[in-house]
Amino acid sequence: MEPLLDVRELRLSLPGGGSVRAAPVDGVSFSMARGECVGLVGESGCGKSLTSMTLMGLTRSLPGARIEGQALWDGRRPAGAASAGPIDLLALSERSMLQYRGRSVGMVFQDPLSCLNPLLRLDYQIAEVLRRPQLTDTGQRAGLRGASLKQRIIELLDMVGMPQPEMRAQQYPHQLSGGLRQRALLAIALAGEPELLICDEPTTALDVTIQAQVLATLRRLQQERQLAVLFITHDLGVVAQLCSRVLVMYAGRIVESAPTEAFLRDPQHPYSQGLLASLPGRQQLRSRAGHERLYSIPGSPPRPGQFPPGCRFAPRCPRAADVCRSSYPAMQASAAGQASCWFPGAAADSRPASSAAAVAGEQR
Amino acid sequence: MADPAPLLQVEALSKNFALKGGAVLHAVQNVSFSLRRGRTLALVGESGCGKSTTGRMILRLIEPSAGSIRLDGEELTAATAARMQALRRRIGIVFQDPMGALNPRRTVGASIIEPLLVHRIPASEHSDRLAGLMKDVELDPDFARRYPHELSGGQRQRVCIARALALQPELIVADEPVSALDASIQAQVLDLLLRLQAEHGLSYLFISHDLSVVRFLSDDVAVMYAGRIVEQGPKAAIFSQPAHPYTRALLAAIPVPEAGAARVQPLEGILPDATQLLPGCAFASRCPSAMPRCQASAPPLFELPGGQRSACWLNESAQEAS
Repeated sequence: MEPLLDVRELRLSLPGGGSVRAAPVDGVSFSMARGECVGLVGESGCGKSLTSMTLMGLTRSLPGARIEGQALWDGRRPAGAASAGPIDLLALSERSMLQYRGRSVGMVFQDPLSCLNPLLRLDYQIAEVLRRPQLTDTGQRAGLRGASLKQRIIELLDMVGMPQPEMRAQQYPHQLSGGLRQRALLAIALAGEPELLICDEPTTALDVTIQAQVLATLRRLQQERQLAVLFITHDLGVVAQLCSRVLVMYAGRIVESAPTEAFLRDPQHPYSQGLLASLPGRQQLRSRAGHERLYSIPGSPPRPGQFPPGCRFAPRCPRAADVCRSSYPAMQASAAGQASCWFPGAAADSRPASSAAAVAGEQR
Repeated sequence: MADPAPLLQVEALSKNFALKGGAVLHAVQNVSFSLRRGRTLALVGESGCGKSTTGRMILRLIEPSAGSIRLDGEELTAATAARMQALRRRIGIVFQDPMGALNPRRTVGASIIEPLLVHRIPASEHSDRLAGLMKDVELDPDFARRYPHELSGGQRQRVCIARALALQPELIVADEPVSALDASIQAQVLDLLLRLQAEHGLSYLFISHDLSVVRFLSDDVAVMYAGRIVEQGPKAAIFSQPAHPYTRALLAAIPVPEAGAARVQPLEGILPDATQLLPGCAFASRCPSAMPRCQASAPPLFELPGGQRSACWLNESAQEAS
């Protein structure tokens, strides 16, 4: 079966200083199956949010933006669209993209307060989506009006776990707590009945107990509705809760892709290993005697436009060798997933550059 | 408890804010704790629980409504403005957002030595002190001439830590100092905080919502809910045998980045309205083990074996005979 979404060599470049162009998203490839929940993780500035915004066609209006690559969509499409084969979302005109945005692909952002209109009641904001014609598996359906519109709004709020949906529907965003606002946003995103939901740090601004509520809601929706979810986060704990597969992004590229369980047990890329080792949540109760230190990756990530040649992680990598500094490693199979590293594998194999290279050489 | 002279002793501290229309917001209610020299006490809780208000009251950046704060035996709430100014040399503070805490038009070096000017340290000492402080926080001396916007988030937080250390304080109030940082940078700053503590014998009042960070860094933990401390004690006891239902709910809600991690357990409901003083336990409305008694009267902190204290009626029978 064709993937629901197949992203190939996605690249977004923007004018840098002078004649230089910076590419915060620089050759990102991944695919998503129907009903699959994939975590896209990385630190600030790695390009994870810009990847999703570019897929949604939200970066094309940035000054000087150049978008390359393909995002092949094999889900529902509006009547009149070419019906054979997947459609490249990136090649669509802005007018055509409107048919997909919010309906084939829904999106939930991090900060619910700035995404909701403070002057409009929730029911109005959800109705905006429902009044438009909907795409369904059997084709186009007219927009909702009157009683059926009202009923659908309540259904949606109920579905996302909003308590007292009839009362809440008539409230304004400021009357809701952070967790309820995030659910309202989820209801709006689901109103278009998308097959793919992109969630960009939807729980980052929430307290842990409220985050747990929203995660439980997302998990239930994903299972009940066979919804594919691309979950963008910096929190690997959240990924462990929700996602069956994880993509790790660093400096504009995906450096590792693996099933979540395998990734957490045995990460292959040195960046992934460093990231996991630096999480205090993974340390068990440890004594402070002798000052056990938390592992930290030295240095900081490079900025777009200043990516080093070769592997972009090389300047911070404990096992970088000459080859790492001169040429970028292609994605290759490693353990249960894929990693873009010249010397992937267990952290225990990590040793000074020369011997790591020698070991890697022997294995080939 | 068996601690002769804690550096910081807080007793029955409360803060009420008057709101428009005559309502009163009970931000902090009857909070007591002590912090020993060279140790770290973590104040943990969710947004609005009163942990930051408590931290700011220690420096009297917010004036307490009631209660006592003693630093090395001296009562801070009774200190005159001039005396308080002098006492602030002994307490440093680090905030969550380093960009907001630094003057964007001032160089990093100028920001770090500002406390020296305020406290009239002779100018002849400034350059040596600046060099020492930058070395302490592992910043390149060249950064002294740069501006905050030229630095990364982790570097900016190091600048704020250097500034907090400028007057050689004994106590640092750190309010979510690593929450705005990415994981790899967060680990660097946590390590720095531990090293500085060991080298300078610092005591930390560490305010955080992140229990995994607290578990790594602290010696003792106080869990706050709706303006009160609901449980406190040594870190190991709090994490391995949480006695209060809220502490248990908080721990069960943390997503752990491990293979085969248990599903997080959501805690339904929201914080009670802080303008209403409830006669009972503030957590009763969300508590899975609530009894009629919980709505009627608020439980005191019961002493449990191992130095743990928990404000839950369920712990009444387990309390140590005193």
